[in-house]
Amino acid sequence: MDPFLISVLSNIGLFSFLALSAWLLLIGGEISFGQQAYFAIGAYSSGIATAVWGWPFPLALIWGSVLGAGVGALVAWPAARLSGVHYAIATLAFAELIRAGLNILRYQREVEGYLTGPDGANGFRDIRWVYEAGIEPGAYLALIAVLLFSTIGAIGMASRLNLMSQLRMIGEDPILAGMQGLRVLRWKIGAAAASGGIAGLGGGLYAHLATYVEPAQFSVMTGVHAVAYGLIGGLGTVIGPLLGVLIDIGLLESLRALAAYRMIVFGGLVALILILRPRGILDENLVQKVRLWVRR
Amino acid sequence: MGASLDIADLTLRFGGVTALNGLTLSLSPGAVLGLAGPNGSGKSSLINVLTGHYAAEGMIRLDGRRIEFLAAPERARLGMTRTFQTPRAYQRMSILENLRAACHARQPVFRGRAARRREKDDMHEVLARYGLERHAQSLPDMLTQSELRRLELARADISGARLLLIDEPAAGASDAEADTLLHMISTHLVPGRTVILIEHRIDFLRALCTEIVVLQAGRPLARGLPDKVFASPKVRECLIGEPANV
Repeated sequence: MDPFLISVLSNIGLFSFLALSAWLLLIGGEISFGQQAYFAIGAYSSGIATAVWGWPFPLALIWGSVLGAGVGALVAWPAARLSGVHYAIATLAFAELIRAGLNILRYQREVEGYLTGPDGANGFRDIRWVYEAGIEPGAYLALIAVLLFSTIGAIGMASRLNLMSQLRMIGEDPILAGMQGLRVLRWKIGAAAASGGIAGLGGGLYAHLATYVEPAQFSVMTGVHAVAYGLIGGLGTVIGPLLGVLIDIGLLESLRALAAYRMIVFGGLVALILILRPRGILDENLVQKVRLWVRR
Repeated sequence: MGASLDIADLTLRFGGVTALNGLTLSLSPGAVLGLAGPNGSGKSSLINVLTGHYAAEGMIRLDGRRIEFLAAPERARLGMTRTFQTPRAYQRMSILENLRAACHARQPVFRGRAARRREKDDMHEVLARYGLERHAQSLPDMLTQSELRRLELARADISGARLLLIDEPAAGASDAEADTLLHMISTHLVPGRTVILIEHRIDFLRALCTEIVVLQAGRPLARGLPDKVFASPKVRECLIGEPANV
């Protein structure tokens, strides 16, 4: 396969994790501008695990994801009591706190004669496990795809067990959902944990592909994009955020003719879709119509 | 069978306004209590306190168990539900999904095919009972106000609750619609449940209730059998402004 295509598809896969994590919170009725923080937590923690501590890569990925989920739950403990713009600001402030923290995080050990580990604003280089293991970019893309589709499969399973519709109930009318016996606060914390875990997994995969991460990569703009993917693609189905990523990275960033105007086109697209289809291209209405049509 | 409910010294204040003032009530299983009173007398506040939406001072016992410190979802799980005066529904879910939503909390996550089929049959039966069967796949914004009122009742029916708080089911309804709602409540909702019903229509309360409490400024002005309460001059003056001495 063409290396450029592999790199584009890998990017689409990696940012899909971030998009899914923001989408999950959107379904639960919250806008988070802080999902990049969990991506960063996953990237740094799994990078430290393989590069500094010498852990095997699969264990490091799990560690990054679990840490993302744990921090997600911890942040949601107070934040889930907020809603709307207050929740958005709280998550944004938290993410900036993490980024500022990474800017001063120095944790370096000597590994095989070199100082390895995060070096504050200079970033964290030599996360080389994947290259040392001789994993080709194509194989790594396959790994990203398998993990992404497993995540989507898990969300699909949650839908079959009616868990997603309970999250949608809370997202739409938390008072009614509470009166119907749904423990709203627990659900919100649970959704934040799942969402932090998904972003953490994506972050771990990202760090090992890039081999170098720095705090500036996890800026507010990354978080805004994550939310925009769901809003463009649609909140009606789990495919929505992936469609959003596909449009942004697959179309705008990768078509060289458009690349220079990417941010202008992307911003315009977000504005246009929010006006024409406030819940995205694949919104609940469309999904319901398709479902009825398929059954017929 | 319906649940028993005891409340004692229930007091709710909003700043300087006292919405409930030391209210004490007791309902035996299967009782249907009508709450009447002018606007602002504390009727809806009582429902909001009972469901856990507002926190008040005092004691609430459901089936002998104290619940005043429990959050709204925990109270709902003990078998309490309510309807809303202004119908409320999940706007992005079909009517069938709205009904299913009322059952989620009491169902196990993993259910067999037979249980799911039974649930589906139950839901279609309830839809038919409230004249909503042709709307199973519609979104709530395609329903008329009268159909949305019936959806409120259908949801309460399928929830399996044993204590039902009904808040002005016929507010804004025509006389014919109110008759239909009255019939639905008396045939499908009252049997086997304990009910608190708020309503301004006196004929509605007379037809359904075993006991009436008239509230004024958060405390009972009168209580007793419907005929006796509505014959009382002070109640008539409070509810319809008829002078007591005429």
